[in-house]
Amino acid sequence: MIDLKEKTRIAGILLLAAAPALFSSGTLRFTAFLICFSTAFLLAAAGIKKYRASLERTCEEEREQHIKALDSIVQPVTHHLDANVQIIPVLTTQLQEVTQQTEQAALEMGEKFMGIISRARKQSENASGALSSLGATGGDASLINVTRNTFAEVMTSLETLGEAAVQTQKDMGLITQDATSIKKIVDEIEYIAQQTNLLALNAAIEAARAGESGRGFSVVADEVRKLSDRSNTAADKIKKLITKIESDMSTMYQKTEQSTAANTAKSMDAGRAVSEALSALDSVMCDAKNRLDGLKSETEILAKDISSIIVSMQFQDITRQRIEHVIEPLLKFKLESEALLQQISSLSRTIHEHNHELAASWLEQLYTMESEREVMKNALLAANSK
Amino acid sequence: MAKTFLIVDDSASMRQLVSFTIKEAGFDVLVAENGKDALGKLGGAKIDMVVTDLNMPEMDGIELIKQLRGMPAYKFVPIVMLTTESQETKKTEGKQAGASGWIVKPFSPEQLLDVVKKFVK
Repeated sequence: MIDLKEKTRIAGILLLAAAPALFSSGTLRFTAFLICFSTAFLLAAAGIKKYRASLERTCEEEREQHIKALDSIVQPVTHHLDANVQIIPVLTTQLQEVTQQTEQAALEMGEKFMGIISRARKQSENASGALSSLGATGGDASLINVTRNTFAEVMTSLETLGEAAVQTQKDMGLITQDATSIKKIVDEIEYIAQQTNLLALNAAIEAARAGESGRGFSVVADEVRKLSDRSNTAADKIKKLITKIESDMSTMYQKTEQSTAANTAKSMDAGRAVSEALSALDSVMCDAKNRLDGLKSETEILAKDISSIIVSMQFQDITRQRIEHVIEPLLKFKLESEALLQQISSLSRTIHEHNHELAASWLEQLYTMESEREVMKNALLAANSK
Repeated sequence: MAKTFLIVDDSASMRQLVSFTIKEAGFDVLVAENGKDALGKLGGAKIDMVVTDLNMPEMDGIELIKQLRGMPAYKFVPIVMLTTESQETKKTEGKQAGASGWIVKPFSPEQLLDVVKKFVK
């Protein structure tokens, strides 16, 4: 819009252009024309310069408005982007902490589960070893089998002893029989001695009847009688001894019989008791073995369950790797965003600098004095550096 | 003398699981957190088998396999990789680098021992 002052200026120029026509003289008219033309030219030039300055000011204002509008868009965007960039390290740190915590937890859980497996297996092995040494597994060296074998040997020894006792009894019977036979022989000897004594007596009678010629025979008869007496005495002693042997044998037989019977009964009782005890122990061991088998089976199931848990726990490692795969692009995004921010900031600075440069050149055109331009440049530089 | 396994994994829980399973089977173990750590701890020592993860910081499993295959002492040692289903490319890379086999995570201790016993009697 052209203001009143400018309208007046244009009217003045038009009047000056028309003024030479007022003079009739050609010289005066030419002179007036020159003066009026010069004046009108100066006025027009001043008006054009002012109008140009006005136009440039308007452009500058519009540019300023555009830059402000651009700033109003760029600044929130950069601010928002910068805020997001600032959040990324926080997020990545949190994710890293989460992975570390879950890994630590998985480590502790794994340690505990593996400890459970080890202890369960060790307990199962210990129980198995203990029962094996007691005989639950039926090995030859087991305690029960050693006991059973030793007991069998003892029973065999007892049976042998019993048989020996019976044999001794039989032998005693034979001795008694022999003694009876000997007694019969001794009776025969006594009979021979009596008959010999009788013969000696008869011989002595016949010797006495023979007189002197029978004296020698009388001595022989006497010696025969003496031998007969001695035989009789010896037979009597033998008879007494045999009787005593018979009596002793009888007593011994009875005692041996009683002892053997008692031992046999005791051995049988003991054998029965030990056999029952061993059977009971066998039953207990069999039960314990079954329980042990159950324990082993449970241990294996436990180990398998824990193996499954361990398999599941590996998802922690997989999750960790996935989180790391998230962290990597996040950090990349951060770097790219920072680069973008720098680019935006640089562009904004360039726009502002360019704006100030335009302003400076415009001012240069406005100011005619070099000192004024210098002051203005310094002011703009100071404004840019802020 | 028990055979020795080198177990390499950046996850402490995985190292724990693999070590426990291998030790329970009656073997000795040497553990490392990544390829670089493994090479440092090996120092030319005799090992009978390697079980390694693939994704690890500093030096990953592929690089470790390449390095081991370049050393005369470990040129023919069985190397088993621990992989996930999504690591088909890595698995191929590992095989090309010289790996003897792989186990897909998650795996049970029995599965691990089955694979291990294919290579070590």
